[in-house]
Amino acid sequence: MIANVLGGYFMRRLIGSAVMLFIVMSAVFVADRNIGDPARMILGDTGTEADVLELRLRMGLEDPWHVQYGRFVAGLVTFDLGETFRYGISKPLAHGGIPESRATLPIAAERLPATFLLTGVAIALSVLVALPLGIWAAVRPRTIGDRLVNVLSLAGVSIVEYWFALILILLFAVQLDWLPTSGYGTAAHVILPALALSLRPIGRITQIARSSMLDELAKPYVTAARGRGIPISKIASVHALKNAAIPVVTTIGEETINVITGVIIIETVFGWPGIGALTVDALKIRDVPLIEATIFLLVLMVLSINLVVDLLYALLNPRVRLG
Amino acid sequence: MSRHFIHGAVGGAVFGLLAAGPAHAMGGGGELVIVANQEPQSMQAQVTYKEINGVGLRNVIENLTRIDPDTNEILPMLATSWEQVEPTRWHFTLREGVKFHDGSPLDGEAVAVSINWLWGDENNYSVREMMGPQISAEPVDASTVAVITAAADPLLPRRIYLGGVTSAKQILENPAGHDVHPIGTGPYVFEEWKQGQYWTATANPDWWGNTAEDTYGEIHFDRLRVVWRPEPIVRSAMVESGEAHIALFLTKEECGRFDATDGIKCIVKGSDTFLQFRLDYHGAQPLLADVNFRKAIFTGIDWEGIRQNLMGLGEPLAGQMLPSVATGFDDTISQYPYDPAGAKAIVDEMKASGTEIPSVHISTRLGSTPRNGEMVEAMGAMLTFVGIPNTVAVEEPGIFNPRATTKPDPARAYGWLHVQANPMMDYVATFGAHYSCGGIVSVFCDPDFDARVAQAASLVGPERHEALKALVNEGHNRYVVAPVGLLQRAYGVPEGFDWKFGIDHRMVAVNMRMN
Repeated sequence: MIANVLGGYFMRRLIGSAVMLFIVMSAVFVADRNIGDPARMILGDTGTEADVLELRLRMGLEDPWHVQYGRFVAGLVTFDLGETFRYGISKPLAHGGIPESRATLPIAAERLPATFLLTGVAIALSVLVALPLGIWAAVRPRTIGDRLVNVLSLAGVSIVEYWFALILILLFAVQLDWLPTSGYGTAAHVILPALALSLRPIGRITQIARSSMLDELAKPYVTAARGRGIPISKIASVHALKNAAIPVVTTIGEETINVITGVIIIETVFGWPGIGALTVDALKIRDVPLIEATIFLLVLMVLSINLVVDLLYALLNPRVRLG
Repeated sequence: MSRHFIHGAVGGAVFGLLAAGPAHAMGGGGELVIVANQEPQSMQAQVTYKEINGVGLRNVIENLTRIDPDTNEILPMLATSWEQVEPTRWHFTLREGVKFHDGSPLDGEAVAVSINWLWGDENNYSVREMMGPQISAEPVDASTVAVITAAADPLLPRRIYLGGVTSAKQILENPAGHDVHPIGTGPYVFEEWKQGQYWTATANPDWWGNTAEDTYGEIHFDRLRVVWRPEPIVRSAMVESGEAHIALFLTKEECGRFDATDGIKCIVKGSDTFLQFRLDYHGAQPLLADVNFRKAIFTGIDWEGIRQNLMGLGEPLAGQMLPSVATGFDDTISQYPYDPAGAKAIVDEMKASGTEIPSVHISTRLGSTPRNGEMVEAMGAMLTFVGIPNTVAVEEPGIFNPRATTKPDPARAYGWLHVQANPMMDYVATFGAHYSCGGIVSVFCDPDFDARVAQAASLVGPERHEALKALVNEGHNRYVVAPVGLLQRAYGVPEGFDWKFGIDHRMVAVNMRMN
């Protein structure tokens, strides 16, 4: 019964995600064609109008918009979003077409493991720090410790990631010489970018965990349990935590999505070879097919997480799936 | 199980940290690490014409000629000598015994294939923007290649220095490989390009320069690694923390901080790129062809003040676009003086005589040079002060580029502030771009001037210099283009790091040493 209900719920959410993906990518299609002429970017100031026109023809940018859009939609369905402009389009075309390796989706997909690693560490770090911190503060409300956690979590939410990333580099890499400034390849390299990314999630999850636990700890069954002499730490971790989990899980999901969007800046700052840095590179040179491929994968990641969170939410709260 | 998992995760993290070793393992003689501002878009040999697009690539790909960093003189590299056997035909004698990194020999046939590949219209590589008359090549014999130009080109030995010599074997057998795996004859053999991260090369024990008397350097580093970080703070942090030897393009402030800090220093040098203000000469507003009105604009703007206060790292230019090493440099002229009272008097006189002063639109391209938005704001304010109405804008490339290549703007009086490079250091190239009827970005058109440029272009030596110098002087007096300053580039390096380079700022490891 539950499986059937969940299955139907999952299908509805899946269709909703597909529609959302289509809408977002259509917006990307429109935006991409209004951020400057990639042919002009490639040819520079000295390219003649005739050169630019020829290159635009080769890129398919001179086709009517509905032809371009039809090609784009077909590409979405077949997972073929075209070839990158990255290596200069004239030479490969002059020599028998673009090799398969220049297809944009495989290029973008190659960057996914690095992004998964960074976002995974950042979220794991956030949950491991924020959850105990929020519970710890909730069981001692209005104490100095609770107020300190409040201030710190508010700071975490408020501080700009970009600034924090540079401060981390100057402090831990330059002044203290503990960690590498940037780059990729060892466990040491992931620490600073993960810290930079996890600042906001730590703040948000701490705040939500604390407030949810406070609500839960104010309920009569907690009072009754405390009256029977059960330690507050046990009540909080065994009984109240499960009931307070729904908003916390939702927040973790939302923050995971924030971390994914945050990688665009953080990967660029730290020279982390993930999909966020690739998106920025593609934008710089107006590599339209590559922009579309990177955004496609990023949106797919966001929607997947949304879907997982919705399912977890439904599992934790039957009213959601039945409603 | 969860406890085991946690133990495993913590253990793994600790092991990983230990395995990472010191964050900055490097040393003199080991690996040279350069941190650039951007990843190359390709590793094609043609990229070597502009260092900023392929930082360090000249360590792998060499050229027929090279330029002395001190004197700007053309010197032998892969060609030991050259001769103009006919007005449109040059013979380059190749260095004997040189092999490409793939083992194929450097001979007349291979070099001809490489030149045709790089400069031909089929590939339409961007290096062609540096081409005069069309270049093609054919082998003469095993040790000689003939380079043919569509018209006489006295600058060919200097021009050919811009295009790298790449393996003909690779071009013929695996042309796609040429985009990502450079194969040249240089002191370093390309190893790997890990896209998004770095590219590496190893010292070439068979490099011809190890034994040649006329070599241009000495291998001091076993390996070369080029990484990229777009943030200047991160680049400088890499040098400060010992992770890199050279950080490209520090800001003026960072440069000052480097000089004031023990263990690191900043190297600053003028480049072959200049910042200039170009104003439509003809077009929508006939007044723009009036030298008196142009004088009001050119002397109504404090160019030296803009250079000193806004440009940051900029060398002064003496009223012309190129520095003193350039062929045609005129040492009798100087920067346009700032004379707001004089400019205002000209404008007032024009207004009094019933002349309607047009509004001038001044734009600059987003991100082309630091603080260019503030510069056009300042220019606009100064023009307003002398009574010339204006609008200013920082424009996206998609808007700016078409406008800058429209000659001249038919709709409005238009000027732009932009950077331009002249690696040739010869005024013929600058005149071709900015002072000619046919120049793509030129808004000045005087057929008589063009004819005299063409005549000067056919000359060599002191005659060429004098002929170009006269034209530079004329251009200055006709207020065609206002030079703002020569862009300087600043590098952060450790103390004890020696690096010899010219205004083209080539990152050549054999000219570097860590003492």
